[in-house]
Amino acid sequence: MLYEGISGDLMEIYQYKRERKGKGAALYSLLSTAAAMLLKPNLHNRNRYPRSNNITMVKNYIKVALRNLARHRAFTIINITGLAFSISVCLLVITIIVDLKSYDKHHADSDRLYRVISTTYWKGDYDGHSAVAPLPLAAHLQENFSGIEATTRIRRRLHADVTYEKTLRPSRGIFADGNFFKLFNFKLQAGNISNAITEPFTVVISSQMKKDLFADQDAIGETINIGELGEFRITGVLSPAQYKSHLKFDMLASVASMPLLENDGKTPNEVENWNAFNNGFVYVKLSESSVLSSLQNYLNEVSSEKYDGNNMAGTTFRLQSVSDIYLGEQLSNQVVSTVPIQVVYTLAILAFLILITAAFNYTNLSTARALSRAKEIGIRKTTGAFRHQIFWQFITESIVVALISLLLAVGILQLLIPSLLQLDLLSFLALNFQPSPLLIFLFLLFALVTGLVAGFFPSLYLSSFSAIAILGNNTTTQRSFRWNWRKGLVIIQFIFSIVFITSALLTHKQFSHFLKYDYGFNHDNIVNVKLKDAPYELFRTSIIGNSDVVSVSGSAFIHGLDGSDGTRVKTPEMENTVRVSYLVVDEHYLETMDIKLVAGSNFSQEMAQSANSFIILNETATGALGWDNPAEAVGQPVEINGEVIQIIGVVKDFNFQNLFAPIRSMMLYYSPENIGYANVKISGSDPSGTVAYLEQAWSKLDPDHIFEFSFYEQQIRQSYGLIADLKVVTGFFSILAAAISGLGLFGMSIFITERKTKEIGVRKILGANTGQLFLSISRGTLIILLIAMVIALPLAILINSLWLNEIAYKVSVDASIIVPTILIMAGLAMLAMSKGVLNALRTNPVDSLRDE
Amino acid sequence: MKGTHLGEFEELTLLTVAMLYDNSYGVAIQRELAERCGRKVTISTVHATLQRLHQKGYVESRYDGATAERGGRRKHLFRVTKNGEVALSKAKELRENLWQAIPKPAFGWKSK
Repeated sequence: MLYEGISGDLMEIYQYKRERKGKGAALYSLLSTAAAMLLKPNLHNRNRYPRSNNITMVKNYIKVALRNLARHRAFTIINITGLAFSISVCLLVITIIVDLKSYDKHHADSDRLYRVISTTYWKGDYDGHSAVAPLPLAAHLQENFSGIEATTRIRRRLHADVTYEKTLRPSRGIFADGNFFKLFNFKLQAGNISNAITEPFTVVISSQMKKDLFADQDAIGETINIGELGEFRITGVLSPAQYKSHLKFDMLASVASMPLLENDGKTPNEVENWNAFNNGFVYVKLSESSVLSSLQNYLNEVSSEKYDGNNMAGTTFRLQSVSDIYLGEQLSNQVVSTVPIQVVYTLAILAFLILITAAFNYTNLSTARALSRAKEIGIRKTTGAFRHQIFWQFITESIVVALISLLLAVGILQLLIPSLLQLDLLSFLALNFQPSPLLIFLFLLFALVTGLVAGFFPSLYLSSFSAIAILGNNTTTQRSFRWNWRKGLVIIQFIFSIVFITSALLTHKQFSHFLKYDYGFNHDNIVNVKLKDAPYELFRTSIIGNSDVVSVSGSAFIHGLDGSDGTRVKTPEMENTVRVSYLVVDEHYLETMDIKLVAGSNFSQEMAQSANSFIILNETATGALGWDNPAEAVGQPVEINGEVIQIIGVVKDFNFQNLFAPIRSMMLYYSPENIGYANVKISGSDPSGTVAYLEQAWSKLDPDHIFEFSFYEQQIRQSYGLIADLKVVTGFFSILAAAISGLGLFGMSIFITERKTKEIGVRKILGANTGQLFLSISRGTLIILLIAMVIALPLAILINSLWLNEIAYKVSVDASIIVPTILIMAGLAMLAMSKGVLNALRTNPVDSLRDE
Repeated sequence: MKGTHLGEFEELTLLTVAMLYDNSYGVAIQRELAERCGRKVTISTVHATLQRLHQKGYVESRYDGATAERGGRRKHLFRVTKNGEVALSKAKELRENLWQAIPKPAFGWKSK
């Protein structure tokens, strides 16, 4: 753009500097000077007119844009609806990201707050990235590293039933030391913040907890009982503000209590333990002058000093900015579960695909309508418009469309948010949609960029028309309609739709497959009751007489929901152990769950008195332990952690985990004293009445706790919540993608048939029947659909195999997926085309051919 | 067209163009301005000034003298026009008149 004299000078200076100062410096100065020159318009626009009044021109562009939108209503509605829906999805993603990014920003100097996180090794085995760090590290850093302003320690998992007088409240909390309030900005509505949790057995509670336990009474100085940990004195009540922080808690007990609790054996040794730190968190606040890397170097020294040569060799520490915790790296052992950044990425990609679909509609329809704008462009060019002015005129038009869509999208978003927040997947969001200045700015920016991108190609294309060609004769504009990349865009839209639809059908199929699957045990009409203080035997005998109670058994946890604990088992002859999952049950379990014994016998009550332990294996386990026939295993001993235990029976394989995992080795372990749940099989004639009866029986045995129960079937259904969510999300996106591309097709079909009115007239006169006409009009679309299918179906299978392969009992892509997909897409295409086609078919050829 | 007033930097540039006579183009002018007048300016400033001078009719230009180190591009060579010469001498005259009008004591006791 710079004219010869200047660019020559630049080259000369470049050569000169290159010799003296080296290539990099020369290049830098060349580029910066060139950039500076571009900003001085009279240096490169020498031959153009002086700047004209832009504002008047832009006003004219907007006026023309609005007139055009008003005149071509069908196209406007198609474009704006599509864009509005897709923009609303994108806005949702933006809102989510902005919301998640705002976590932990309210602390003073939050940019200097870091958490020490660890990468652990155990006996040389990599153990993963973890959010935890040894608690004594805090004091160690404070003493030995000068660049730290303050540190604080947190220990998670203070989950207990809290009682005050007669009121009971299950609560979740953390331990923290006195510095907690120096680093994190949480305010107290009552109590002294400077010494709130400095002494042993003091606790700060949330305002909600205070309300639940004390109502209007003053809580400060009162003593509450935290489960088995004992009595704690309340020294503060948090103010009820909503804190957006990764630290969520009902109560905050003092770390100073921990050594005393550890002495009593109520919590594991952690406060001074460098080697076991599954629950401890260390936060540091760097001093202003401190450099992050020097602390990192010091941490490296600490880890090699503490762990080199012992079991944890290789363990290292890192620093993570506190504001990156809530939305960030996936780490195990978080204080509360955080949002995997992948979820947000996935949502963003999906939203982006939908937006592209809608933008393609705009691009397609605008270029297709080029003819109607050609004369306008010709006149503008003749009266002296430059190409770049025409370009900006059409960009203005697309930005106007995007901004109108934005308004609509904000409305849609308001309707969308409440229903989306019900998904488990998004349950981490405490989203209240309040338009902050930042959000409004981002929304506007987003709409502008959308307009710019959607309008770029049409504007480039429309502004390329030559005035003479347009106004002189029509041949050149005629040629432009063979534009093939427009078909390419439709193919891409179709591919998106097909992939979305296939995924939605597949997730639906997988979900119902899970629910219909025969687990190998019967979970119908079973109510699982969580036993708290109620003794299992008493509860069992008190309800077993009822006619609606078919049978009752006990287990330590619930089968079929998630993974279970495993232990290492071997036969006396074997050298290596086999990993076997186990479930603690009583002698009624097989009967209640309808699990079949294939060999040996069930547990019996006398075994409870025996000094020995007894187990029942499943078939897989007997195979893994080296018996070909289950019957051979019966009566044999196995070693579990050095103890010899007798196998008394073998059950038929059943799915004791959820269906993501295949059936592995499993044993039932007889230990009536470790029962945590009562499994009550009811007749099912009056489920709610029976549950009420159970609750009544419960309240006699354990009046302090609430009766907690679940229907087994519901529990199983809930354990597939993720798949259910995926079903909703893919379903939602596939409807959106299909609807938007359908709209686009609809617009194109109106346009094509309008253009083909004469052709259709001629064909009719020559005797074509309706079927032939329909084919001649829609042939192009059908070919496009076919191409899209060929590309999209393998793509869909590939993409879905990414998650399907994680599932042991997965469904496959077969005709039940592909046929509906084809039918939906073909139906959609037909529906979209039909309006235009019918219009054309109905017109009397006399009318369409009369005026020439 | 803006006024034909000759600014201070424009005057320096115009004098440099005159001095360089047959080889007065961007980089040479920039170099002379730096060496003789101690004015370190960017090449774009030089060109912007030359352009203003062109608009005011004080310089005329032609293209010639491509070299390899310029990437084969010709130099944009400038020469002072008659009008430019008049403007320069007017500026000089103006200054001399002013110098002459300064009474002797004005600098006499100010510098000592």
